[in-house]
Amino acid sequence: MLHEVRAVPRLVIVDPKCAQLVNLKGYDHLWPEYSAKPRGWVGPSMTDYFREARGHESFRVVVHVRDNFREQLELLCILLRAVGDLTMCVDELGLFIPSGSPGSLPPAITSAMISGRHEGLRFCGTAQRPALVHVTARANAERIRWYRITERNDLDAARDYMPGPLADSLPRLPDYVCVETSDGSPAFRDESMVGRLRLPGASRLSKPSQKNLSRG
Amino acid sequence: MWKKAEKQSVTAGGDFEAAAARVTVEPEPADELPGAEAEAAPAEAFLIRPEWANAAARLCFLPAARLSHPAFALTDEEAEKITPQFQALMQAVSDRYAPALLGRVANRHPELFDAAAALGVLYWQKWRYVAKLRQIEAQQAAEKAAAERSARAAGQPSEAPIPASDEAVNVTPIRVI
Repeated sequence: MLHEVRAVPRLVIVDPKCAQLVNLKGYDHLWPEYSAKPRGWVGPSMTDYFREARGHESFRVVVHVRDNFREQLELLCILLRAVGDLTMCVDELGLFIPSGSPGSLPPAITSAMISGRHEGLRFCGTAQRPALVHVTARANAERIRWYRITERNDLDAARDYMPGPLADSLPRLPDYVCVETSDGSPAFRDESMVGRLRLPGASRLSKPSQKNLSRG
Repeated sequence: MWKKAEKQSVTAGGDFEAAAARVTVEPEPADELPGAEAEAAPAEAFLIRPEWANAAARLCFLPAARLSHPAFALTDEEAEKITPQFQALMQAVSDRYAPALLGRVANRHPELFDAAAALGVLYWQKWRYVAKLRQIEAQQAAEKAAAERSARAAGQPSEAPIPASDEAVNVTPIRVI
């Protein structure tokens, strides 16, 4: 994911694991404190940061989220749509928007995914289990990169997006090789990432089994 | 890392402040924190007075003194001796056991709790009504006795009007809540 967004000037990464990304160099780090009742972030740290950031042509920040994933992603969507002209990358998308009925997605996340691009909000996410990501996110993704997956439900989900032979090849994909599906072109096997990952620690962060969802 | 943008983002302005207000909650003031409530609680606590504990201790021996032998009644010295223990017990009942019991009853048997509360309010109103009635009756009896005494002293029958029983009581009827 970091390789995918390496050239993005205005970038917000949402980190639910609070592990490797905690020490990511060259990024600002925010640790919002969430209050369930009343609902919202306690204190002005998040809003103060983005109030200043929205006037700058370049900023990169990692928002470390430790709990209440869906609720905090909803707050982020509300705030970042007002900031505008940025890319939001969500690690482990399945933690934030697990699969469910279309109505189970919070309204702010739904509108950010459906019409966020009109407000300059680009959305990018990774998931180790594509089947556990909400169908709205998968259906609205402009481009999906499927790395090696082996679980039957994940393979079933992949078959909706690519021809059978390509889906059958997913369990045997080598490292850094993926199948890319998109709205505008047929699915194809992409080996261009092999040997190109140069970011420090990127080999650990971009697990071959992860799948990138990106739109924008 | 900041580089001043040549142009503001397309949605910058009032929209951002509205969004910021939606996603932020103000930290609770210090005086509304649970710890502050706990500190403020003792000032508002219901304190058992020593004389109440003394009376309660005497009350425990009253049935035996009435039914068995008057020597069962506590002397002042005995009552003073047991008052601190009774005060501590009654304070614990007031602070812990009674609220817990009332809470359990109110949660498990709301009809019983409501009926008991209504009966308590009604009984209290009746008690005030009867107390006022007794006061008026005693006043009328005193006036009647005084009139009879003055008539007897004058050697004439009393001419003081004695109100009828219905008119004698002019008390505002109770209003049941």
